[in-house]
Order: sequence, then C-alpha cells, then structure tokens
Amino acid sequence: MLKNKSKSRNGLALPLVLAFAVCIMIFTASLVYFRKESKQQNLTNIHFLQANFLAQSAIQMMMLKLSAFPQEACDAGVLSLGYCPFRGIIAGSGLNPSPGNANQQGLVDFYSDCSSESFPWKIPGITQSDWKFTTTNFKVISAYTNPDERQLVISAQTTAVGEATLHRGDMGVRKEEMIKTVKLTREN
Amino acid sequence: MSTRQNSGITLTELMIATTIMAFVILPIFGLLNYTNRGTREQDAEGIAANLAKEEMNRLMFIISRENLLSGAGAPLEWSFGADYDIKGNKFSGEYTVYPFSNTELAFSIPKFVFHDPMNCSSGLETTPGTTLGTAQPMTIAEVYPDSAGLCRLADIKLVVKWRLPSGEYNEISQFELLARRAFLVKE
Repeated sequence: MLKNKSKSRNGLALPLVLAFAVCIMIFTASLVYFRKESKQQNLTNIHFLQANFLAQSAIQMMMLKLSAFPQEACDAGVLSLGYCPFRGIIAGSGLNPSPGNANQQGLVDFYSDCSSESFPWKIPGITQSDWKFTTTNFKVISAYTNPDERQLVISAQTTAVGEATLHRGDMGVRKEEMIKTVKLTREN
Repeated sequence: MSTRQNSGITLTELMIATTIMAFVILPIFGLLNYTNRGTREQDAEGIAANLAKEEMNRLMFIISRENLLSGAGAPLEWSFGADYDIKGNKFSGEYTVYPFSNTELAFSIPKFVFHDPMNCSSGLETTPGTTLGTAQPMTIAEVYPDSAGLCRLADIKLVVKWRLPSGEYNEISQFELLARRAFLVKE
C-alpha cells in the first residue's frame, strides 16, 4: 500500500514545474501583448490629435474668410437657395425656389481654397503631404430676413477634413472630419 | 529499499525541474524588466499627448495675437516650462510661429455679375447660370488696407518630448503637432 502511494508521487515535481512554467509564459505573453496594445493606443491618440488640429486649421481659415468677406458669403448663400442675391430674401415671402433657380458654384468658389494645398504651410522642414487639410463643404441650412432689423440671417455649415500621416508604428493616414455651424448676417 | 529508490528519483526530478525553472524564469525576469520600462514609457507618452493637446489649445484659442506673434520665427518654450515633472518623468516642449502677411492671403472670391433685380421681381433668381462669373482672387490687404499690417493667419508648430528619470531626450520620444490659427476680422 505504502509502495503504491509512493509510486503515485513519482514524477510529480516535473509536471508541476512544467505547468508553472506554462502559466508564467502565458502571463508574460499577455504582458507583452498589453504593452503593445497600450503603445498602439498612445499612437492612435497622438494621430487623432494631429488630424484633429489639421481639421481645426481648415475651420480657422474658413472663419477668417467668412469674417473678411461676409457679403460675398451671404450672396453666395442666397443664390445657392435659388433667390436673387441682389434682392436677398424678401421678408415674409412664401416663395419656394426650385433647383433651377439655384446655383451652388458661389459657395464652392468660396470654400474651395481654404486648404493646405491653396495656402501651403510656412513651416520649414515638414513634408507638406503629411499634413493636409481641406474644407470639403459649405452649405446653407437656413436663411430668412428679419424685417424689424432689416437684416438677412443665414445659418451655414462648414465641413473640414484634416489628414495626418504618422510614420511611427506604421500608422499611415488618419482623417478627421469637423463640422462648424456659423450664423452670418447682412444688413439689407 | 523502495523508499530509497523513490527519493533518488525525486532528486533527479528536482534537478530537472530546477533547470527548467532556470531556463524559464531567467528570460522572464528580463521580459518583465522590459515590460516594466515599456509601461513607464507608455505612461509618459500618454501624459505628453495630453500636455501637447492642452498647449496647442492654448496657442490656438487662448493666447492673444500679440503674445503669440512675439518672437515669431524662433522656437519658444511652452507654457509648462522646461523639464516639467510628472511622476518623475520630464516633459519639454517648444513652439514656433510662422505668420502670413495679408498680401499673401489672396482668397478666391465669387464674382457676381450684376443684373437688374427687378428682373427677379418675385425674389427668385431667374438667371442663376449667368449671375456668377469666374471667381477672382482678392487679398485681405486690399479689402482692409487700414489694417493691412495686422497678421491674420499664422502657422504653429509644437514639438513635445519626454524622458524617463533614467533616460535622455531623443528622437523617438517626441512628436509634433501642426495647426493654423486665424485672427478674425472685426471691422
């Protein structure tokens, strides 16, 4: 009986050590994996910041243009809706313009040069193609004339995209879109 | 007799087990050390990203035009100061501002071809195709000659770097953010 019991203990240390070693290896592999994941997460975060600030740059350019040329923006907005830009929107009118009255080209002309391609970076030593931004859309979402203040009021939406290329960690290109709504007014 | 044999086997087993343990444990200690250092580096990188975001937001939306443009063209220290310390890690940053002149800012402006508004008496545009001509470039300096010397647009480059207590600043532990800031026309 005693002999049998002793026999059953034969080879116990080896399997135990092997099991322990396997556990340690799994633990270490998971540590390495999580480290890699965490590193990737940091890079993703940095990449997001780069693309986000690029999109913000496009919005900034558009805001500058809107503040410098508000009349042209309003006129282009009015025409994009199908109203005559030299008359504006007649207060209280129940007009219903058709697509045949509208021309979007004015808005396209207005937003299309708010990009890093039209105004390249002044920063020396960078690869321009790694840091790109562009304004992709500018559209009027509502417009009316306030008769009390004799003021044309337009709400418009600008869409911008920032495109950053991060070479570290083979992150490649990341695009971030940003939308900003602005209110434009013009005295009639 | 049987018991003696068993203890012999156990000794052999123990020796093999110790050898296996040595082969497994020693590299793992190295790996743990590597992982530990990596974790500290990741931590520092994450903090650096947050600090960079905060600094760039300050440069884009808070700092005044005069303060931003003073010293333009040369690298300036960020607002946290040199070797900013968080959890023993050191962070440094510098930004450089590159202003545009207003004569460079030639924007494309939609060109409206005038027609008698009475032709559109209902208010709807009757000739949408011919109301627009070819877009014309126009600089901000032309439109606002009184403030032509005032900077309206500037590029900003922010470089943030970090190091562990035992390390040095290097090319790998740094990144940059680029942005363009506008100063709106309020006239």
